Amino acid sequence: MRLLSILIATGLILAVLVGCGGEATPSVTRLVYGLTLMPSGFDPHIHASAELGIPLRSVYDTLVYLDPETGEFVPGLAEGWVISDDGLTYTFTLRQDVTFHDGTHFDAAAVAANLDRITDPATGSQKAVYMLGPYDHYEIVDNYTIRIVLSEPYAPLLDSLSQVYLGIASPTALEQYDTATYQFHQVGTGPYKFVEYVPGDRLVLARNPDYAWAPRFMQNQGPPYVDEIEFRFFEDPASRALALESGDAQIMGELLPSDAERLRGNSAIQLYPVSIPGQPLQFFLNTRRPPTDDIAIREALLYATNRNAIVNAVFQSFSPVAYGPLAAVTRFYDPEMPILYPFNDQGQAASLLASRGYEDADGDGILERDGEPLRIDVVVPPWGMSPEVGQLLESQWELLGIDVNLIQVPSFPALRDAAEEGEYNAIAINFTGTDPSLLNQFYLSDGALNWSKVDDPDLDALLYEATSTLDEARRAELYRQIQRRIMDLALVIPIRDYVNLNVASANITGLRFDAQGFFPILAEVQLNR
Amino acid sequence: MRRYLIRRIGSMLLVMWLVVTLAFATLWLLPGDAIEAQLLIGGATEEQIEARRESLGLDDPAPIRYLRYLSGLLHGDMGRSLLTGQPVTQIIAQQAGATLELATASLVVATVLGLGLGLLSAGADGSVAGSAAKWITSLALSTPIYWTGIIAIWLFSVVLGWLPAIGSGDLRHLVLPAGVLGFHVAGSIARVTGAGLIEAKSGDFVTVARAKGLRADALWLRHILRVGLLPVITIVALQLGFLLGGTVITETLFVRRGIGRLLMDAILDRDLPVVQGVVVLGAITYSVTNALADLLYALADPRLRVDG
Repeated sequence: MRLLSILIATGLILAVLVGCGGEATPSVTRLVYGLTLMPSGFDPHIHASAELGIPLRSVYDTLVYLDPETGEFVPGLAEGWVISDDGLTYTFTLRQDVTFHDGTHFDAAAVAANLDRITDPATGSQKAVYMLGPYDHYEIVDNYTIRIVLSEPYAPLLDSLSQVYLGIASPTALEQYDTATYQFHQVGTGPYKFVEYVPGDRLVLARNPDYAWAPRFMQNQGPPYVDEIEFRFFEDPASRALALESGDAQIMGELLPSDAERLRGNSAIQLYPVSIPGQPLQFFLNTRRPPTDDIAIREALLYATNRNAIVNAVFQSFSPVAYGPLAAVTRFYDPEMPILYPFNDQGQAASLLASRGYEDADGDGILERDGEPLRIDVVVPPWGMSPEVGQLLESQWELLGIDVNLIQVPSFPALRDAAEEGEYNAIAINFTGTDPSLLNQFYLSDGALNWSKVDDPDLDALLYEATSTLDEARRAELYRQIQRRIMDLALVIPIRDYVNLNVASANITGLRFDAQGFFPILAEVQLNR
Repeated sequence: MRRYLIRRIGSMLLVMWLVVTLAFATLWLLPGDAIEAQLLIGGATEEQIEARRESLGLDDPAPIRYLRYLSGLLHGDMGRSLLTGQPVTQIIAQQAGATLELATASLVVATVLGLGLGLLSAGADGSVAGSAAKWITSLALSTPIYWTGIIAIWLFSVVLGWLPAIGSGDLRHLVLPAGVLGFHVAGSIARVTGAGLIEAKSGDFVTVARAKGLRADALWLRHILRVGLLPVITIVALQLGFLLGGTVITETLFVRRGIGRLLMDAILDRDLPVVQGVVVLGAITYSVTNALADLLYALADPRLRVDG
């Protein structure tokens, strides 16, 4: 039979194909770290994904570091720095004892090569180049001194330079590989060396035995403890807890709250919830589309939202309730926000709606005004439990007679389409980051993600000044005003601070995360047998 | 036979061209693209995004982009990823091996299991074994891969600890995903096999053969199976489409690399050249396999060799 011979032949091919696998040598300590999405690319100078920092934060050192305990900028590859009085020139004095993984010596020329690469339009940087803000040029003063010159003062510069996207790569490797291939052959100075990246399958790091220039906040000042770390991509949330329970992975981020709750009693597994600085899970309210063009309706929605109930039901109480446009762990967060903007008062919501002439005239349970039902279109992305939060909002608001139309979109580009079309009253989006200047994109009248469509000259002026002022006390005052202004205008419904539910097997110790919250300090991790 | 061959190949090429054109039209008419989304995440302004789109040629008129794409395709060039700048052919090649491995193994599982279940439900009609076979077939057809996949991981990896739940590498990693995907494809094969055999069993030629006093085993081997299994060739080829769709879910669930996951990620990122590359590759694979199945069918069944 022909069919039979085809079957036999395919079986043989298969046997050959699968026969090629191998096993790791047992004497090496090795752990599997689960990433939660498959970034489109892994070159930190080019790509924008937050996920890439989980492995690469330990491959690259940065000129400065942000101390996760004190929130201060501390020396990294730069021993020290001086900022000119006009805020335009940053002079960095570099360490002289640093070597890249490929043996190249670290100096000012290496920093220059990185700046050249990031700012070259041909590189196609999707994030790093924008993090440099008003960068103008650099000047090499001597072998170990480099100046970065800006065209205008830019307060977030040190924060940018502390991030993996501006990590310093070996100039030799940058020359050897082009922009499409460097991501497979990355060379830094960090505690871990990049071994290989097989798209869709794994990214592997190996211990750098020569590492001796750790930033001072690291508890392990020498080379890391674990020999090899393999990163795999667990895009399906349901498979994450299973892989941990079966021992296929030892550390994993972004567990589902329900799985975290279930694993709480499991002695073989330990939970590491980490609050992430930046924006909370939030819904922007469209100030240009009825009925949310009316501030009273926006306030009514804020009052109508019971955030405690949402946090309890959706996040199993793993997240703090959010009260403003910044998460509580972000720099310059205003601690008075919970007192000033508590909201959660359904009676107040009902009377606000009534004051605007909404009543249920025809007795169908939905409020109307001039025969028009009170309808709110809500757009939610698929991530961060937003659809579940949307459903709770729907049921909470419907209790007050609001007709809620929940629209779920599948991806960020689709969310962006919905925002462009403008057919929404509320839309969920949040970015994370340590410097509050991330608010600019969302609240400047010409911000690329100004989805509340706010156009407020006061807010614009405050945001501009807060980005260009270097004085910390002044910045704190400006961001205090900004946070209050945003809530006074009722531009956003904050829901909960973002908490990343990390988990690790019980034999992992020393797991801690950097100031960004997302990135583990891998050099401190130990695997006990 | 030669005219049949020429006609079959001609229609295959037409289908491929249609798919390429349709894929181009639907994908590139979508608003927004990968680069826009990534730059927004990266903190770019509207002007910076517009400048980048222009430099990538994304703002050129659609007919120009279409002709550029077609001519590239004829030279084996599917363009470059908007996000990484890597050639699409290279990106696909990096993933193709793993999917081929999964698809082949699943097809073997599906064919063996499907034929077995089909034979059992037709041959042992009315018995307990026959009913069980029918029940399992229904289960394979009606449950989603996602569900059986989770159950399989939970049972074989978490509870029993027999097999690794995730990853790719050796044969052990292939067992669960290929078993789950193969199980679902087996459903259709079993259904068609069973129906074909039951129909063949009641054919006039069987009555004649039985009247001539042929023994049951000879009757099954020489007559019923030969006629009844013909549709199986087509259904196995047709299952390739389902198989390609199934790899998307299977690869994601079992954390395997492959074309299915590449496609899903590229769709979510709107990395259109990559999506288009995978769609075109899928269409080519599907058209070629179906053409081959038709030819195989014609070889196996002399009745179809007549031109007409």
